[in-house]
Amino acid sequence: MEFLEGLANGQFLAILGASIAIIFAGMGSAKGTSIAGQAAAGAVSEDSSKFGKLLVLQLLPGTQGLYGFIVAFLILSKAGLLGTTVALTTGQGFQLLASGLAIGITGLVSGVAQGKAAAAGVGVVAKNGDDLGKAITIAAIVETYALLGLLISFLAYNGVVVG
Amino acid sequence: MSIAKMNKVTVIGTKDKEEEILKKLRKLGFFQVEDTSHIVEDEEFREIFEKQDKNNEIATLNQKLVTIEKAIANIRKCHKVKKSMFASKEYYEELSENIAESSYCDVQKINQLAEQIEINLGKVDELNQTIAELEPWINFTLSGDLKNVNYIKVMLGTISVKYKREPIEMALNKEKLEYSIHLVNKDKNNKYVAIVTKQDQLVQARRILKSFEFCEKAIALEDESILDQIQKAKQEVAELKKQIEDDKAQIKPEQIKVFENLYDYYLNERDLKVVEKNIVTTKNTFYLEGWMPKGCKIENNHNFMIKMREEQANEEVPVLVKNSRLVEPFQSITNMYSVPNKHELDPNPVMAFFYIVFFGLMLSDAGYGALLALACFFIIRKKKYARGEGNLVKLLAVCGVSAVIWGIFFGSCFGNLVPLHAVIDPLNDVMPLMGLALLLGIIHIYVGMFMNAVELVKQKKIFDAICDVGFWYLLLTGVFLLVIPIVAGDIGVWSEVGKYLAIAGVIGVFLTGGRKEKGIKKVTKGLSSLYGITSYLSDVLSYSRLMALCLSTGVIAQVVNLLGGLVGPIPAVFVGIIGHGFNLANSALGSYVHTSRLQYVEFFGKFYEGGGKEFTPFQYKNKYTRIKEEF
Repeated sequence: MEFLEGLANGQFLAILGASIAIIFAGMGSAKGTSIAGQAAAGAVSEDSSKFGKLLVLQLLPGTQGLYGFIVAFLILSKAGLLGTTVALTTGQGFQLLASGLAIGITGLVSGVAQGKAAAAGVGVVAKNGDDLGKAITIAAIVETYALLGLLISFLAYNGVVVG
Repeated sequence: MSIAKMNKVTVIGTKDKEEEILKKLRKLGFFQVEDTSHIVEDEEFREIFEKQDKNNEIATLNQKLVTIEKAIANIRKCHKVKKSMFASKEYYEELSENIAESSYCDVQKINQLAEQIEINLGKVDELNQTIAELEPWINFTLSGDLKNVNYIKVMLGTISVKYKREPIEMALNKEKLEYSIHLVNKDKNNKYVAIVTKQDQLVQARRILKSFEFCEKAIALEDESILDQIQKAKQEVAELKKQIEDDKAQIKPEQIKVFENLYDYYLNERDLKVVEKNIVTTKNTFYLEGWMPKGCKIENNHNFMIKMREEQANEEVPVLVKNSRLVEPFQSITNMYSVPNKHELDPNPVMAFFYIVFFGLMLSDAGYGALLALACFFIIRKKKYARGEGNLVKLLAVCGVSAVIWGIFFGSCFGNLVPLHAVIDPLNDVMPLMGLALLLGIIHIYVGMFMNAVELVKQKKIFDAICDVGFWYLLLTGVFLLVIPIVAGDIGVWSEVGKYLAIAGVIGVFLTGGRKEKGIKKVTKGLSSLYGITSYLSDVLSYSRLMALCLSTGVIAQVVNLLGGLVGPIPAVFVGIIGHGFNLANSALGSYVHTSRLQYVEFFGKFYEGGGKEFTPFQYKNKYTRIKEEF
């Protein structure tokens, strides 16, 4: 019984939501930056002076993890885990959990996808360093969907009334 | 504010004046030389014209450039001259061929000296190693009578300290060998010993000693004592070091400036040769074609013939966009997408305005904006950029100022570190912020559509302007007015107005959408163009990224402050510097990327054609130096 009660605990659900946001978005970014990083390392081995430019490209799929972090942080603070404690009902806990899902899953998929686009961009920069802006823009189009995920997560989070 | 008109210019002169005239054009810096070498392929002209083969000269000059760069690197290595990140460039000085040649001799001399130094340093290393090896034996001398006795052998070597003298002696005694062992020196790991044996027992002695890990050193004893050898080596080292110092003294750090100037001289010489490749010649004359902005004039002192005519409508003309100092840096953003073609409006001033607004809104922090702007203005001051240089830095400086203004509007300065009164608080006033973002988006899109209408009117397609822009204005405005009450509450009579606007728009678009089609397609095309509303709506929603990035900056800044508050006052400074530094860099990158995307996809998509070729005049292209404005 205590186990079931624990599962229905509002704060537990909120932490679960925060974890989902950061875990999945972080996974997406980790995979994405690794894909882009592998391509970048290859290009650096040919021409090490392009390191700075390629680093920017590698960083692009890193934002998803950051968005996940933002949402996770906001959820934790609303659940009263970072400061003043508040009472959280099971329903509110589930709502916060659901709000974390949006950025978690869009972040996971778009992070990996953006990593692939950025890795392709590395090829562009390796050929001509002046085309960095173009390569960045191409990869950034993918990020739109993570941004939309962040936005929905935030709007949902903002809609949950606690206290 | 506009795209400059061009003149097509033809220059014909005698061959001996070719270089002089080209140098003059290079100095003027507003003449783009066209590649005319294809004339030679033409049946008609094949007999008369010929191409100039400059490949060998270009290769030689490239080789020189590499050599000079090497010399500059050598000087830097030798004197540890550091390159200041913010130093402005020296002025370029034109050289005569003779001076350049003699400077180039200096370059080669420097490279030779550097090579010599490298070799001598290697020798010094080697000698030092020898000295280190001899050092433990310094007190060992061979007395005079042993020196020339050839039935005796003296072995010098090391034995690990773990072997004592007795077992060695016992082993040697067992074989009935004659020997004597002298301990010369000792350190933590090794004993340095001299072992004297008879020449004919040497093999056996070595075998036994080997089992004690005796490591024999090849040190000659016959001619000189070890002390003398060490002293001689030390003297040699001193001599070499002096030699190196002398060589280094001949490499003067101030030569870097001369060589950098020389590098740029040869760089421009090479570019000149590359241009010459594009120019065809006859037996005695050359023929040169190119473009020049209208209003520019080449002074002619009667040693060549010049003909000018205005650009024609169907020609491919290089595009030179002229803008104010404020807008100019933003041209690089537009050019990254596409250079405007010569028929259209210059989108840069409008684009720049929205760029500044959106970038500031995304960065949205007064502290970050101030830091960014100050850093950029500092670099601009130090580097003394000419027009057209350092565009990104200039752009970020302006956008930083914009971020300060938005930061004050949002009450954010390093997150919540400095308490400011917010007009809209991003974390709490969610709907107003969302509304602001989308409203800016609608304005941006409307302006883009307006630019399209202006283009159409300029082409005398007024009816098209009304159908493709006017009706859509009605329809979109109507739809937005209808949507607002759903999310933001009642707006009174305006929703009624919206209804009629939307209806008028729908009818207009439906009736005119298929005006270029025939028969039944008129109806289907009209219907399908109504479907275009979805693309406008998704464009508007895309501006929600303004809000998302604004939030992202703000929340991370607050997290940094919170972490700083947890760790106590002194570590908080470090947390603050690293955290805010990271957030500033990341948010600035995000703002740059996403503002560009809004321009490229949502804004340019409405009206911009592009596809022009950038005007690239023949001019000095220096790497290390800069050109005086009035050169």
